[in-house]
Amino acid sequence: MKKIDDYTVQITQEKENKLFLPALTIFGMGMFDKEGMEAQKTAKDPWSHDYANTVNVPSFGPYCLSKWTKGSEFVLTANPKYYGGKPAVSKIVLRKVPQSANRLAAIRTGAAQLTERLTPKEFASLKAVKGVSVGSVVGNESLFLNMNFKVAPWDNIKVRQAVAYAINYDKLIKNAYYGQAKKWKSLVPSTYPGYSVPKTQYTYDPAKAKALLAASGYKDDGSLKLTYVAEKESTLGPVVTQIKADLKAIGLDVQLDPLPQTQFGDRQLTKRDLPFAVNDQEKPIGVDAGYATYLFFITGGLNNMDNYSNKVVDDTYKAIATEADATKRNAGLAVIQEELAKDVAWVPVVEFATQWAYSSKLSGITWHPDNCVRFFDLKI
Amino acid sequence: MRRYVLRRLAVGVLQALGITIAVFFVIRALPADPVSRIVGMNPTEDSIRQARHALGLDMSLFQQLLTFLGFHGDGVFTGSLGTSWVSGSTVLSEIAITLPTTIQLIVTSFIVALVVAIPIGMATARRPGGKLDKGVFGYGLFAGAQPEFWWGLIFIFVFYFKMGIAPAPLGLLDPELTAPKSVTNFVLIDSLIAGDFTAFKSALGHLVLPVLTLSFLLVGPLLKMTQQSMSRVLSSEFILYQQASGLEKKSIGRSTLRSALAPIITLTGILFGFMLSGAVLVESVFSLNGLGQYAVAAVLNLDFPAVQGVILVISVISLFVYLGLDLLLAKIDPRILVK
Repeated sequence: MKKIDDYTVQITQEKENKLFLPALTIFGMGMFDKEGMEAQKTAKDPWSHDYANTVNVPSFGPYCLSKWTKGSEFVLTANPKYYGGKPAVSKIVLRKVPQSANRLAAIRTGAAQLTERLTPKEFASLKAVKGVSVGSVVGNESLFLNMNFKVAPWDNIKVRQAVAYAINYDKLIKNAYYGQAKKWKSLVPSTYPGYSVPKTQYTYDPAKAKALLAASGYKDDGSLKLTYVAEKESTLGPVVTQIKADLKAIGLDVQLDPLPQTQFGDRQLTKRDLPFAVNDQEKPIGVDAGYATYLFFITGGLNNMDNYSNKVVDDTYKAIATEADATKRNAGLAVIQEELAKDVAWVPVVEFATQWAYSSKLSGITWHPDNCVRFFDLKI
Repeated sequence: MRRYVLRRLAVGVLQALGITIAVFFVIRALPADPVSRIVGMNPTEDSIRQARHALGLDMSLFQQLLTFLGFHGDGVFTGSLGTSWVSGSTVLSEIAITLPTTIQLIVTSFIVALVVAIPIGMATARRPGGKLDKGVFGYGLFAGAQPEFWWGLIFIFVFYFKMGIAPAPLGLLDPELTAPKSVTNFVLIDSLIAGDFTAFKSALGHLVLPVLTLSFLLVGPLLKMTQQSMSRVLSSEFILYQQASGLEKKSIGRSTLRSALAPIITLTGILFGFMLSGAVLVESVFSLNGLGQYAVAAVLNLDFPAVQGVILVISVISLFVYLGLDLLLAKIDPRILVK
């Protein structure tokens, strides 16, 4: 890395890597204000990480944090020194409102101008309300079932295939998502470069699911659990209820196992011992199918929650990691996605819409891979 | 009286400490590891070890307890409740923000509940079987069978959404208003200190529905207790003697109430202690950043210092509340201290 001038750096790679430029767009790569950060360093916190995580972030964004009541709200005011000019909205109050019904009421009455994370039913109810708009984008949010390759019976390919054929996808999209979703056909977001539809697809076929389960040799003893994040009961409740019913219909009687977020994360990310879970919170923030592969499916990958390992996937990824030709790279990614589908690395269920409900007077909402609104873009 | 108070304080402090130490061990026996929040995805053995060291979890349980109590630096005995593993702020500062919200809510709710319950309870005790008595009976059955959060949502739907006469359930103040300067962290008091009557009116307005919700549930048991206690005293010999002696109804009423107050005060104390963390559902429904919400989040996030701090604070407050009520009881019935 070489400094060219005060505003330019030059980065030279050993080999061209198509992930490099998408990686630079990841929101987590914020620029800190060196002087501001150094002013906060202490012996215990020499890089001011704790300060940045818990007090404020010296940086160059369009807003300054003027008040932060943790767990409740924070207030942003326009940064008068922002290089991009003054934002149209000079003050933003972000307040935590735990009940989605209250968020819905607030947006309907105009007490709030923007809200998110309503249930699909609530978003659907707003479509006919005057003065309220609903913005909807199928970006990178998806729901899948993950089955741990190190825990029986999920290490049995026939059991995994049986589960994949047992899910009534259309019914789930209609009843749990009110149509605000579509069947997910691969294991990377369909909007990402490098996405391809594998030939191996799983459709709703309970007869085939039963046959596969019988052929697997697994005898259900009622001990299987389907784990999900407890705090998401309002959105995942209808989903897991239907999945439970679908699995029971083929002879798998799973118990629903809501787990608090912290424990879910511990089991999934750190210990990696969750046997069978529903997950709707994984989104590869690097906009690239290769990034998603590297994150979730390479042996020992950063978020390889299922302990999945496939030599073809690993070797193919290694070969295309520094492939400069986009056509060859995409062909390699297609091979990887086909392997993931054949192995049922996950059961891809749906890609669902990221949605916001907002006052009709508000404009400027655009989708970004972190699914967060950019306040600077807003006008009211 | 002084000896009684000192003895109660001494026992209470030991009780609060005992409870906190018990919680200290219980929370560490939970089958979940708080380290994962820090180490994130795919951690190395080294990063896990560093995280456990940063949280003090690599020490023996006994050493962790001594650290918590303040034998190795700041701790409970030096007035520190530690630092939240989630927010990085001191637990004391976070409780200082959340506790006043809960206190405002439950004190106001109790005042409303007692103002409603005691007169009605007295009236129904004087005229058993009357229309009011029957109405109260039905209310007691009905109110006792409903969860408070359900009533909260109903009140929001009716008074805010349909009638538009209540403010939005978005916390204690309108989002557009700037909060008054924090002196006591009680928004109602701070707004009066600052002379900010707009904020005062906003805070009072935002308390109406949560107070209505809580007091709607509290009135039931308080009313029942008042009614039964009053009925018992009204049938006692000294009241019959007063009636036979031709004393004024007001005077008889005062005597009756004074004798009937003891169980009402006791029940108030029990309910108050319960409400300190039991109001969490009402806090959630009305987006109030209170102690209950803080406690639930601390448990779900395995934030050990926050959980320990909340338990200790609730125990100490309960201690003072029960002591205060017992002193009030002793004032009403001096025989209590003699016993």
